[in-house]
Amino acid sequence: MIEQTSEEKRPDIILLVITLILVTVGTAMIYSSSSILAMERFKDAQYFLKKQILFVLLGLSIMVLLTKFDYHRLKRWAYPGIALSVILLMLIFVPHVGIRAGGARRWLNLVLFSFQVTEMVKICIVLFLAHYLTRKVNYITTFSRGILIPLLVTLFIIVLIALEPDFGTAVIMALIMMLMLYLSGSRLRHLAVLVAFLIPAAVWMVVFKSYRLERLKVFLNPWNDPGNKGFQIIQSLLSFGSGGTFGVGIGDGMQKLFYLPEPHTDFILSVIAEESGFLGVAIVIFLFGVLVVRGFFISFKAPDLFGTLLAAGLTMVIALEAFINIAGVMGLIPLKGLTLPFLSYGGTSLIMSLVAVGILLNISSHERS
Amino acid sequence: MTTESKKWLRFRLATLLLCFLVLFIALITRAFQIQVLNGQSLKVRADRQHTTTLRSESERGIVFDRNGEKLAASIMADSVCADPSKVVNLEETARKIASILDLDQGTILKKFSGSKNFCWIARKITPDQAALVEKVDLDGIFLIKEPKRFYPNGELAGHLIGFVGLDAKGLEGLELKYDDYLKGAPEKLTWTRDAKGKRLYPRVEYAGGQPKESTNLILTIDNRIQHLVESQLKEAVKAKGAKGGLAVVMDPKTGEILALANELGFDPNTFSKSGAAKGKNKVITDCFDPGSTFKPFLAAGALEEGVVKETDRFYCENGKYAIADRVIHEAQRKRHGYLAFSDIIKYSSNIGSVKVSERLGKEKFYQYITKFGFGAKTGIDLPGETAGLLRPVQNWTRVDAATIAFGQGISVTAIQLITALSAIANQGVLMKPYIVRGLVDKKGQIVKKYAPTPVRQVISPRTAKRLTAIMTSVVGDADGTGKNARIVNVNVAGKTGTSQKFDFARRAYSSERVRTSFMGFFPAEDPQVAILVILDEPQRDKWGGVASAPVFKNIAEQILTCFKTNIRENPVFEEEKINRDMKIKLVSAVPVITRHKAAPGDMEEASMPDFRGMTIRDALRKAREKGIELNVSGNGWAVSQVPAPGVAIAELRYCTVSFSTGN
Repeated sequence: MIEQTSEEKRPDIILLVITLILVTVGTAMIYSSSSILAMERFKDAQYFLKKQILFVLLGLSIMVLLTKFDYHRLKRWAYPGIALSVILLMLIFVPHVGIRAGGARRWLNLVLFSFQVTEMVKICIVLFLAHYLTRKVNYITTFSRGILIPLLVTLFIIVLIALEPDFGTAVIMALIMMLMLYLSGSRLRHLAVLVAFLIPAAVWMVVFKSYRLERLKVFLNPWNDPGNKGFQIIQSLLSFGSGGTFGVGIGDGMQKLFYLPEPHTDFILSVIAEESGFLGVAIVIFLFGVLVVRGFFISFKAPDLFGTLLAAGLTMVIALEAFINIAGVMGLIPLKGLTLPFLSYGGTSLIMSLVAVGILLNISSHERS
Repeated sequence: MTTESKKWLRFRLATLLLCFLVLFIALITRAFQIQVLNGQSLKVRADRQHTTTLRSESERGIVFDRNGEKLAASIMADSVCADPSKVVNLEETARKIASILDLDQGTILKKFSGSKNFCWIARKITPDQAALVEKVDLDGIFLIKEPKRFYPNGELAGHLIGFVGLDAKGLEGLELKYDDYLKGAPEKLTWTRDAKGKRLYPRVEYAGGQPKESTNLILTIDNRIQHLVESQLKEAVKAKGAKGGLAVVMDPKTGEILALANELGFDPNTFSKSGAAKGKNKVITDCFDPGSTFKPFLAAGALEEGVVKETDRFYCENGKYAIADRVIHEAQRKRHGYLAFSDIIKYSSNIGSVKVSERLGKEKFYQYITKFGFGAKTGIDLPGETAGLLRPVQNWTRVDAATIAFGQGISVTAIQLITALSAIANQGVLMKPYIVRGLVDKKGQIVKKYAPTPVRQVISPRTAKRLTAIMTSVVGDADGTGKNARIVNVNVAGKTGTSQKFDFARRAYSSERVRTSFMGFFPAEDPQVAILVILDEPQRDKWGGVASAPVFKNIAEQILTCFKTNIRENPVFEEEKINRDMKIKLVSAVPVITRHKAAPGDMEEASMPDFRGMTIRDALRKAREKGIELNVSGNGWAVSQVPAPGVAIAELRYCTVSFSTGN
């Protein structure tokens, strides 16, 4: 494959501005939503804020570095990245190294802070698929030479993630894989067969783990048991409702006072909804929308197939996460326990989202003339 | 990469972008739906969980007597309640609570199972029990403070005050009649809370727009007189072996009830044990044949109409007077020949009375009976008053007209009787009896004042005077029936009465079961106190003059000696000598201001004097001049006072003055 001529341009300024706005809003809302919780748990209202600011600084630095780092050189990290992902995912199952929380092992204990492996794995998978599919673009229509290898690698990782268990991320991974296969030009017949295999697997996982079935039932009718099982989604809906059109005012929300289970992580949008109303929520969704559009434009204008696939893959990771979180807290789909990129509290998530933006910015600076 | 494949790539990218945009538009739509379209209903639900509301009954008003003594007050008592969902071990908890509260374990368990989140276990327990409950500190069991009605004087004026139920609602007596004023509006407390139930910023909201505090009652009752009347009555009932007794003391000029006693006594603190029927105030609820005490009202009518003079003589048929199918006898089978009109009252001649009534005519007689207020409620501010029984005059037979003349065949209540008597004492003006002088708020400011209410002029002042003179002879003369009520140095006007109870079994008046009564007022020249004493079925001394008159006398004597000291010469009470103490409450009789006396000029003078800078002695002297009750605190010189100087003072004159030595 011949690389197209490209010239260094200024990175996409709109994407950068949107990212910065989202990160700023997120930091402010994390403070608003977590201060009471932090006061109660750590006797320090700024506990989560301080940590988040640290992550923001770290993440922005990495983003700036990656903006300057030619994305073609990332190809070298595609295979080591997958290897590292697999190792880290396996390490999670080692006691004391993997942190168990809420019945699932999702974090690696890095002494000072915990590391959510799956956040990194998402980027690695996208990088791997973009690189591999670019290399095999000419065989993409054949099953064995084209898509078998990426399929097996990705499915293996998805199985590891599903074992944590982190059903939500596993679903995202599967979706990303399929969408990237679709983008790279796989036969729709292959994808259809794949879907035909994956759906029964997903259904089996739902039925196998009874709590997932419960969650599904709760999703279908949360008001059945508002005090217990439907509590989270109902509290989230109440937050949205009490926000109304213009919200109760930043900092004046009531729902973060232990009504919402994790106001600063999964339910950050519920807090935003209550405090800034429909206006705030619409702005946040709009910003994500613009971000996705910019990401796809970068993908459009990328000088080569690798850039296109990488940009589209990273954009879709962010878009899917945002969608699943937002739709979840609004009761459109079952709650998955996924964070909202840029806005939710969480170091790994934020840094990895900023990494994705950094790569996108670099790709945008290589636009075709 | 071919151009063809590039096109396809762009097409696939565009389709994906489109998909995502659709998804995000769906998100915004959903947000619009739940925030703007359904926002209100969700907000209501959210607000419901964010706020807690507690209705708490506001503390019930205090009932004071005319001197500021507390007759009924509310104290905070603990109630035990449970949240069964939070009780860890139902059996164990029930057993522990049962042993502390002296209850049955089974009933407690039943209460636990009966409700989800809240149930009462025991209301208004003693402080000792509350302390024990607090000490064992069981999960799901907690204490709530509730106001409990407390009657510091126990039985004192129990029938009058009545009682309140468990939920601080007046059920009887003044507690019922003035419930609206005493209870105030229930307070509605609303506060915001977090999900753990922690209160965030409390704010008090009242149920109705304007906060309505409970008001205190000031009664016309003088608790000292009340006490004396009750103890005298109790003693008499015991001594005479009576079933019960009634006594009322009234200020005839104003209609104020100074004391009202029922025997047997009744303690409102334990009404649930003694039974509510015992708490019935018979003075206003029970009616009876008045007997001879009714004769003065006949005499009043006869004198007013000018059909008789004191000296007119009536032939009393020597103790046997046949009317239609009935033969009228004198009481105690006495025989009288000719009696002067005044002697008919003095000797309480039945036949004489019948003759007087014949001369007056039954229509006129009926007219005066109704004018004196019989057959209608007096309108006293107590619940449950009855009107007595007075048949319309058209239905009176000749016998009826005759027997009613000596008080048989008509039913009256004790309050009607003393009110009518007071009309005679009050220059013929019938006053409405009342028991609440005023309502004051928590700060002591008067909310409402009840003034004496004249009902009508029944007889002329001249007639009243003439009748009083006749009634004075009943007590004052050595051969009067009421001689046992005589008091040294004071002219008492009175009338005895003994009425046979109607025996419904035999359909005849019983001579065994009687009500003896004595009513009277003094001093005859300027009546200030009217007293009615009734003993129900005394076993000894079945005549009003013997049984009830001494009770009247004892009560009157003590009133004269202790309270109405201005009526007759008594050793004067040296106040200054004992007032050297720091905390002495100077008590003086509140001057009685009747409606016609209260000139506008009086009100101007009635403003609070400035006590500041005075010594205790000077302040007390000044207060006495003004007729103000002083509450003294501290010593030295007066530095502050409540109410402030210049504040208008009406009939209730209290002032608290703080003194300081200035160091």
